[in-house]
Amino acid sequence: MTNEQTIKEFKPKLVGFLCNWCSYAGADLAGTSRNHHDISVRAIRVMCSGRVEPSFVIKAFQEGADGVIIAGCHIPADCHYTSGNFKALARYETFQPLLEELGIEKERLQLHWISASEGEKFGRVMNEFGQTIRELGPLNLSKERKFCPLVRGETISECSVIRKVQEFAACEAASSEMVNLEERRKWSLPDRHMEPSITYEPNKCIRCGSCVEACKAQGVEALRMDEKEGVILDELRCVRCGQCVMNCPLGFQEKTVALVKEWLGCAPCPFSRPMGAITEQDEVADVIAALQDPDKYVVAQFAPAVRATIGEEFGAEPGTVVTDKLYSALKAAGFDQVWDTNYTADLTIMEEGYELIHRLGGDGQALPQFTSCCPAWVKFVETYYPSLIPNLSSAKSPQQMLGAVAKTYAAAKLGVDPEKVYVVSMMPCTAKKYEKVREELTDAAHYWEEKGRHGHYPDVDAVLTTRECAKLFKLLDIDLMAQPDGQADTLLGDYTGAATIFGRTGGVMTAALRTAYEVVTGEPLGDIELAALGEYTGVKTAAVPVAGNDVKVAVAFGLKNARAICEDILAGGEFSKYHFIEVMTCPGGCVGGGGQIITTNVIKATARMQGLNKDDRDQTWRKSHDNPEIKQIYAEFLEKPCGELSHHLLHTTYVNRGEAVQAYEQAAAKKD
Amino acid sequence: MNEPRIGVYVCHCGSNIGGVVDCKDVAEYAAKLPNVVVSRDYSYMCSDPGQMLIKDDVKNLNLDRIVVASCSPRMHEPTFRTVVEEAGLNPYFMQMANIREHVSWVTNDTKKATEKARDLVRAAARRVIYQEAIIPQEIGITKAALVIGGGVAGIEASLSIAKAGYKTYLVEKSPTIGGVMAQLDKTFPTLDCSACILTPKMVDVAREPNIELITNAEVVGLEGAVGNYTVTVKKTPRYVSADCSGCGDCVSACIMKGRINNEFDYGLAKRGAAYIPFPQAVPLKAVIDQKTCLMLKNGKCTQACVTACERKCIDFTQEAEEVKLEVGAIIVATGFKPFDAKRVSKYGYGLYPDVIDAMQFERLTNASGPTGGKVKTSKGEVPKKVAILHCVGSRDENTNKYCSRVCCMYSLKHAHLAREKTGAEVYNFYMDMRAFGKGYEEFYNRIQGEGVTFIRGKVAEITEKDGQLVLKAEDTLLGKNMELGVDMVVLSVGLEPSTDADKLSEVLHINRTQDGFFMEAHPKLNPLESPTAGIYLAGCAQGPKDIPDTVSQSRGCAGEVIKFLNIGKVKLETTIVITNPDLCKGCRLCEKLCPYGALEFCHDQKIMEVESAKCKGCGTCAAACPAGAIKQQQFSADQVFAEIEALLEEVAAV
Repeated sequence: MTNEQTIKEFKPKLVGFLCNWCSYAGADLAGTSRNHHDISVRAIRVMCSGRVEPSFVIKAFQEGADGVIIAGCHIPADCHYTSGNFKALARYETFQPLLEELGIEKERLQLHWISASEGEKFGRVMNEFGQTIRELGPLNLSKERKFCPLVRGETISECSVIRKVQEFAACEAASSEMVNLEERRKWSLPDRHMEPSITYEPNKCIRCGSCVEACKAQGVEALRMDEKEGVILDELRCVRCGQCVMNCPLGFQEKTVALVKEWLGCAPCPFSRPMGAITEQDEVADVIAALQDPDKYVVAQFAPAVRATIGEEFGAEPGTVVTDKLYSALKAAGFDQVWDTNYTADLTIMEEGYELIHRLGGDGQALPQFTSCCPAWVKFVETYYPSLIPNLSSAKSPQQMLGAVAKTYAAAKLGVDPEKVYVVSMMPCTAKKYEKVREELTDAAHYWEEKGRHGHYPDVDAVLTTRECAKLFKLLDIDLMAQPDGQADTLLGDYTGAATIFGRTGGVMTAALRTAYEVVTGEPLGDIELAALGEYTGVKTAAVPVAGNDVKVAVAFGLKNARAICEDILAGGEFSKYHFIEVMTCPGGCVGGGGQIITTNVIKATARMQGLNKDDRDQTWRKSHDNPEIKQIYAEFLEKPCGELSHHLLHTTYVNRGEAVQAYEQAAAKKD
Repeated sequence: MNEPRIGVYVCHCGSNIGGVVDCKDVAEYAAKLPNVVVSRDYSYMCSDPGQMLIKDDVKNLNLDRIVVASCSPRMHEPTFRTVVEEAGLNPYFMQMANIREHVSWVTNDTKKATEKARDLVRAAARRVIYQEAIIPQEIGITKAALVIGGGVAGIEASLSIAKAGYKTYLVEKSPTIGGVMAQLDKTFPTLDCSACILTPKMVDVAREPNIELITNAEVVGLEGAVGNYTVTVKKTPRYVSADCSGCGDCVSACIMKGRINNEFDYGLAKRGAAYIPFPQAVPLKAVIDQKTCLMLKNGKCTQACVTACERKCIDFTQEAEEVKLEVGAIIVATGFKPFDAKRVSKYGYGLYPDVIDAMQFERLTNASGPTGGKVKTSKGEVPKKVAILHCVGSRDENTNKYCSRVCCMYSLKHAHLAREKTGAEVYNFYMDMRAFGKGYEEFYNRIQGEGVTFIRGKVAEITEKDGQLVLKAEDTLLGKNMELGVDMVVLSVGLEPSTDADKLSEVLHINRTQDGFFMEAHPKLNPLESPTAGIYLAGCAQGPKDIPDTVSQSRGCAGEVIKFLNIGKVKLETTIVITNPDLCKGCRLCEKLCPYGALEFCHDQKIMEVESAKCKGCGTCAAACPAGAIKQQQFSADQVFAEIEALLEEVAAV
């Protein structure tokens, strides 16, 4: 656009953000002093230039602005609010690499200091800005998406555009004196891992300590902050819950990233998710390789909470349950069988429910019985309260049960070599990645070993978090919400309402009571929803009268609450008189799991809980023992709950990890 | 929510807007915008009939949102908010479009102006939908004040507030109030005796029942916000009980007597470990210096003071204690410290005994000073030639760039006193003569007439030769270099922030300007208050100033404090932020961004909480929050987004 005529005809759309005290007043002064100037800029008043958030600028460009100008009080000392102008400056500087990456001329975003007494300067700046934009012409983001690393043919693990948007969080951290950006650029610290779940990039980290706080809030304290080195991870103490991942601000810049994605059309891109400095170890590549391997029989399972969450990544409202679309999407992804962890949730209830009945009947096993579905909670007990290991239900988690029966019962029925079966779980959880590699969880291989078929393989081969699962779909160009409703494959696919509420706090307890009550009394439980146990509250208790006796139950989430309960039991307090206690590590249970969408918060978690409750109500069968495929597996394979085969395949043992931590800490103390 | 019902009012402002913008067109255009129920143009919206137009429409048409397109909101926003409020709506359901200052006054192009006016009205009519009712919060306050620093600034402020009937705590770091003014001899330009005018005020402080004087004490902690501060004060023990009558027997008895530099006399006289700072000290009580007292330092002493004290006041067991004060407002009157002339090594201060600084000269000329007011050299001789060097440690790239404002005038005073007391030839080396105050220029003229030699130039170096001090300088008016031998040199040192200004700025969360003095809220329109509401700045704590200015500012501050305490409650800003506990993830990025410490991390819930009373409403934290958990009232992201969207919605086509 160099042609004079075109320049004249082009009417640029310009937006100005002016601070109330200096620049807006300066603009007013230009008016009162009748300083005629280019009036193309439409001013938006803010109290302080420090209020102008990156999304304002992005929004303006997205809505068609050809240029944006921010004006505030002169640095260093004019700011009415002391230092808002410096924050505006820091954000402006953070914009530069992003604009460059997108191929947007840097002159389209300008920052000026205009005081209340500089009416003439205001007019001059307006004229110059208008002229500059006229010469640049209208802003058209390159149609060829030249900014896109994928279009440029680069192999990426992370998007450079999104990465630059994330830098706004780093910019704020620098303004908050948490981190020195100059130094940060020079860091070359090696990445740290807590195999096989968590990975941490110290060079990306902004040293805010949010993950450390999250870990403290869990009462685990496996992370600590070193100003230079960043976060120091303690593998022994860590339970892999992933709440640190959920709390890295680099990962949850909801508004800005969402706007940029909308503006640039990046929402369907698998790499458009901002990755925090602390995140899960990505197994998507392994899964894709398995799917492409003709020698592998790849089967999928997905956890209860995933169905109420993953839709969010594809534009659905939080709490939208997308079970049927997930079946189709996974089929489209090429899985040989698409099963449902909800099926084994029902199986868990059979095993764990009967176990409870046996314990209540006085089989000599410890009471209260603890649930064991949550692998982070299990490791927590093993590490911090090993004396309570006998209280943990010996029933495996639903994920592990599915792995075990997939490679035995189902493999046999389908006539597939169990060693070739590759079980992929979609989990709302990072601890599930840890659970799947636990040495003792290779029962399918043992089963076949006894039958003379040698082989070493785990029951579950790969675990994808909800986030990774979304990435997998996007990589395979599968739009989840556009999928037709599908069905789970038979054998391990049916589920009841009792299973689906496993995804939220109180769900396991409610499901277990539905079955145990009926088994013991022969009558169905009156109030099958037990809504009070499913509230978003850290600790809930109830007494359920069963055949003349009160069964005292408690439901907790958050390991800080769990710790208090354990301490109370050890001290012989109130909870030691309880019979059954459900503990989930994450807020609200798995709906708030460490593997969920990063922007999870109370509102979204609650919506997901409600989604699961609705799913429960919508089911034909709402009690695990009514599940026809459960009946079938007992009839054809397992014989009875807590029977011998169950004992081998569906129950497990635990490891005392307390001594290891103590030994390590004593050694460390000696070193000091 | 019901569908919003918007009324749009386009003001002609006579021909101010109407002469350029086609107001009728804008009003007709606005009528077609979504949710607009009525749209009118009128000659003067701010006039009574204009206001009535809005009120009637609200009533008759059941409007619930108002857009006024007229002048700058900085002009008439309060007016139209009141109109809307009187019409029975929350005043914050009103949005203005600035079509005068930003449109009609800055162009003659009717087409472009009308286009822009349409855009601005469209944006306002969209934004107003998202506006929310705000009821400014009011909280009660503690009707007491704290004054930090017992110099003339603190004394004046304390007396004013106390006499208005409010409890006033006056906290002074040293054992006595009085500050620097108590050390001065005469004051310019009137040459009245400093002590004579100050000491009665000091006595008033001691007598005033509403003043609680806490000496030997420092402010070490501050919590709360404007109206309700809790201040922690650390008291250093005096080791002398309150029964002390100030008789001075312990002072005479102290075995360290005459062995310690007396800070009141700037090292020109000695004192003991038990001492009374000066005869008119308030409170007039002895104090034992824990740094030099043998008993306190080593635990061994004859304890002659204990024997000497008839009233048995000496108490070595006293310990430091912290007290909490509840106050509504605070005045910082911590004064200044004289520039340390040793930092300008070329003048040989500390090396040559007859190179002294201005404060030492004050003590020399003071009748109650160490020499009884006789100005003598270190050899005890009356000086025949005295040089006075202005701007030492002021207006200097190497030390302080600012002008200390009082040195020119006190240098003239010193020239006068030196002439008067010694008859010596006096040479004043100055850079520029600054005599801006009332009676100052006249004073300058008077001193010029007293035979003082004024040389415009900065002394480059002072050396000693044959027992005389030799000054090398350039006389910039004559443009030639000169050498001058003198018997005494007085360095007119500048004023620097008090020693503890840095510590205090951290404790009180108040900023300092680049020169290190405390920063005022606005250099012109609010020089009395710090940027933190409820903390005021009096005297040299805010910047160098002379006594009249110090007193004016102190009483001004006192007036502000009295006004505030009288009102008895404080209204919080309407643009303050609120956090959403459901969205906050506790990353704490916002915590230190807030210049006012208004955001606090709640360890229990791992989320941030806003202390509304501290928030000034800039919205910086709202811009920074990665979780979108902070909302600024009146400037929420929704509201601004709506404004952006509507502004850019149409390619203007008129």
